[in-house]
Amino acid sequence: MTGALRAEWTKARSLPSTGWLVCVVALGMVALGLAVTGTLRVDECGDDPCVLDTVRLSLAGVNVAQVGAAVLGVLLVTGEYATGTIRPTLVSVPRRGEVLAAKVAVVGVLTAGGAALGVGGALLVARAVLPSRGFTAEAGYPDSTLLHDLTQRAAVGTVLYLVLVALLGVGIGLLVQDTGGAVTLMMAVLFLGPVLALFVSDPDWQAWLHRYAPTDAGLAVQATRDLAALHIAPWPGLGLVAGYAAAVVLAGGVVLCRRDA
Amino acid sequence: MSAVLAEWTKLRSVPRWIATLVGAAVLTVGLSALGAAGGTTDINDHPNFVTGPDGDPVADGFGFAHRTVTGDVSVTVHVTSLTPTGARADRGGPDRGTVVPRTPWTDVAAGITLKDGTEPGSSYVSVLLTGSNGVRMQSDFTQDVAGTPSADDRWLRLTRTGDEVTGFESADGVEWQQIATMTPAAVPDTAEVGPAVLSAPAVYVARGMGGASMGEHPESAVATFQDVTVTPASDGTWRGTAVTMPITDDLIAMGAAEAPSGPVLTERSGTYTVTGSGKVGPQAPDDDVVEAALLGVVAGLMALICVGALFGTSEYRRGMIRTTFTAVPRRGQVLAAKATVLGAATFVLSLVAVVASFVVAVPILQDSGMAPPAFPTPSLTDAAVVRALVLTALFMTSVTLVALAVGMLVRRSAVAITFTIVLVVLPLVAGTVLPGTSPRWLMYTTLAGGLATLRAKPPTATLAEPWALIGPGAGITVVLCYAAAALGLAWWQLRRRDA
Amino acid sequence: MEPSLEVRDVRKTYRGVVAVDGLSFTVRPGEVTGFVGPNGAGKSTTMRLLLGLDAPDHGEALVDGSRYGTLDRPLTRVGALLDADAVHPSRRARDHLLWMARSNGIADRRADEVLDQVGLAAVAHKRAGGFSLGMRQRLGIAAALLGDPPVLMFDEPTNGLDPDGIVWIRLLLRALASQGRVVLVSSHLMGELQDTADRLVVIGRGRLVAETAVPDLLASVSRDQVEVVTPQRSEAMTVLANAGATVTVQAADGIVVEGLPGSEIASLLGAAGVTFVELRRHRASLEEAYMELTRGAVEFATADEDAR
Repeated sequence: MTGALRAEWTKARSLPSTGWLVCVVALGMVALGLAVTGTLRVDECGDDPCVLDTVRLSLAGVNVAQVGAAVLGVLLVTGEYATGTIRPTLVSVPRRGEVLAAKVAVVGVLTAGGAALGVGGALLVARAVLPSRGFTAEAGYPDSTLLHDLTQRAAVGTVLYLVLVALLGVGIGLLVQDTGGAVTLMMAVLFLGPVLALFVSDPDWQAWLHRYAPTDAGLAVQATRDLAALHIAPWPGLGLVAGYAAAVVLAGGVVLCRRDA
Repeated sequence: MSAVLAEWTKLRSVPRWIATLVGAAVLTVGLSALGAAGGTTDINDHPNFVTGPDGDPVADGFGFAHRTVTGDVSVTVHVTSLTPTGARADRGGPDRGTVVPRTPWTDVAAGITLKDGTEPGSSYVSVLLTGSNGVRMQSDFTQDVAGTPSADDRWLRLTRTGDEVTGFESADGVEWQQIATMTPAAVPDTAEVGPAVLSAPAVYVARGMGGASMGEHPESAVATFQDVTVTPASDGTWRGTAVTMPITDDLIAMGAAEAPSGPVLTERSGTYTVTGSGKVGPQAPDDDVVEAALLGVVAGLMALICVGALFGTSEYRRGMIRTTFTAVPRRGQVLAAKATVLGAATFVLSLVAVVASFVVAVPILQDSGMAPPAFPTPSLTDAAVVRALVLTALFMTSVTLVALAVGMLVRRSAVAITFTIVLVVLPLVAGTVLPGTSPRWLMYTTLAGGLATLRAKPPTATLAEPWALIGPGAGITVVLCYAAAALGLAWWQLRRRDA
Repeated sequence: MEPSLEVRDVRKTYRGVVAVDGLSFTVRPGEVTGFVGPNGAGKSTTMRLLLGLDAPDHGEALVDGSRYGTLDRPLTRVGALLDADAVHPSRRARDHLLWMARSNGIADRRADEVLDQVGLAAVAHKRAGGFSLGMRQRLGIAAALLGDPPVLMFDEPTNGLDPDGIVWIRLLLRALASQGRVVLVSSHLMGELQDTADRLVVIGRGRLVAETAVPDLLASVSRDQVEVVTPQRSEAMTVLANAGATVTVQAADGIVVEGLPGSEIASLLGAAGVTFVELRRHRASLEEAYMELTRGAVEFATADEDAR
């Protein structure tokens, strides 16, 4: 198992795309987070009294970061099929379960690293920017520090969510094998739910989409205010995404073990 | 030409691509039909509108000082002041956010109305001095002709001759200029005529933080009229009536205007003071049946992007591009042929898919509540529907060509697919998070704006979907610009770079 | 235990197409074993089955008596070159070897050693996408040698190599065999194996055609043929054919005679006054032997089908 781990790590490390994608995860979190917090004005808030979830808004960069995580997961699998290195891989480590476990571990660690940097950066940026936009402690807005336990949950949850998205990418990569197909499918998995929710006008359908679509369910964990309005509770939402990821990775594992390489 | 045939053979001979292309069409139709069941609305059970003379949903509420006239008649007034009196009641909803600009149909206005009785929704003609849209002549909730952009006190005249009604305006009551002549649908020989005051609710929209919230503040206005003359002179007294929409309790709970209290009309030595509240104009819901029937387009589009990108990048796998360029040495021609073949195939498939979606999904939507009178049945022959369907197919085609060009440029399918899909969907997601005007700018600058082509109704700021912020013309222009720029870049680079 | 490769009654079909059908053979150490057959005969399939990449429908493919999947640190037991293109184009050559080494607990320095051995030390830090076919082939061979394994398999190793490279790989194969390793080399060109292989496993249509030592095979095909080089070819053919020999034209001035001993040919030609420049025992090339064998395989297959 150590061998498989070291091999997968070396493989991931020696591809330029890995570094780029980890950067997308980290910088995506910070950049979109800044775009949101930097344009937010307390007087444009729609509710009175205004109860903006500034932590969630600071972490809005997850919408970009998840693209990097998903493609990272997909590419580390489909790249093997596209280039044929899957055969040397399975010749080096014939126990295919080990290959899968090692891939999952490496993808998880890489994504978690990028995500932790990104989440930390986004919260720091928010802390610097938000007070100047009127979101001060006096107005009832908490500091975006990790001392706050709900902020903590949002931060840790976002990192976990990104890891799960990357693993979903691994699973779909194993099932589809083709880079184009797997990437398209991942984009559909991530974005179709929120976009379709914009189309449907029936509140029940919207609620259903927000409850079960992976993005909406998984990101419930980012909420730090107005928790009663959530369609699914924070941890169960993330648990649901974990369930999706586990199911897809397992199915991918079965295919990997059963199919001729 | 031979290059086109070659590219067609390439496209046709990969079963997976053909399957995905057809799959994109099937996905579009299937998801549209499925989603149509989720387009339910109960607006017809709790209408915030009345039915106009031609059956469309309209708003009809204003202060009306009127007397009964028969036959040809001419009414002249001098509007000496028009003052909004502000919010009549504060019923919650956002008091912060952006006020939606007032259009000729939602402005504060005072003038003369000739109307078939005082029932809301009946046929009418008006000539009005508005708060910020100048002088207008309007009829039957649909016709609207601009007069001068004047905002000062103004003389107005309405003259009925047979079925025709002509509006005039004047700065001094001496020199008159004609605005327009209109023929209202159903103003009978005996009708009500007199000074009218309108003040539509102020609409506030707050965007960002995961959606758009909309609120209305009922407002009222007071206008003074002098030199009110009716010719031929008819006796009878002026009566003040508040024409009001039927208001149900649940609408009031949602913040709708209650019937104004206090007198509509007071008169002191020839000066008539009229108080009015409400809106006279079209009141179609912003939700769009055509758009709702095309819900599957986003999913179909993703599949099309996949094929488009692969059609470009596959040339670079296993060095096929070298064979291609050996067969057709003019590289620009190769790209043109590729774009032609893919574009034609995609356009045909997309058009079939969106027309089929429309045909399949509209009846389902009507079953689930998107039905007349709030939502008049759209027809495949309506100009707006034809425009929406054709532009949507063009939108899907252009985005596929962007994917092709990006694929040729970056030569990596993962990058090309991700980039193009993200450029379509991420602004939508970000558009619900970003506050203020940024969603509109995102629609003007990204492929997401192309989704505006799905709408048959005019743009509106009051919906959560950011693409409704811009019109279909702007939307398709953005996407066409992207396609042209991407193909141009790819063409330039193909010629410059070694294969 | 002695290293070995063994295939026992293996059958494999891909979507109904039979690739390997009841194939059995054993490869022994200390020899270069050529694995030959026409394109599509099932050579690569057999190698994939031996490496556990594909699972046989029936039978067993064993390395050192075990299924490949049960081996620990398999790269130190078997080295294989399957497909030279199986390299990620964005990855540097050394990294490609490094991840394989690490997967089996092989020291990183082995990567540099084998790169040196195959002559790629200079491009160790270049991305594999820019490599020529010959360089990728050498990289694949380096990967096979990485774990210093006692069993080696090479699928068409000379593909894309220049003449120098072909000589190099012949010497390499002989050296590996002389160190007592199992060496299995597939090829669809017999000539390539002429001076390299000690034994041959010949397959056609997924079945074993012959498993034989190279000298035996050559001898069996060469039989009693005599090559005659003569400027008077047609006269010579008439004379010899009249004497009951089977005569075939070989080159512009050469004929091959079967059915008469050399001494008799000489006296017959001398008696008829036909001059000849040279008279020698004909040594069949491996190519001819192979043609002979596969012709048999084709006939066999046809007969088999008729019997059904």
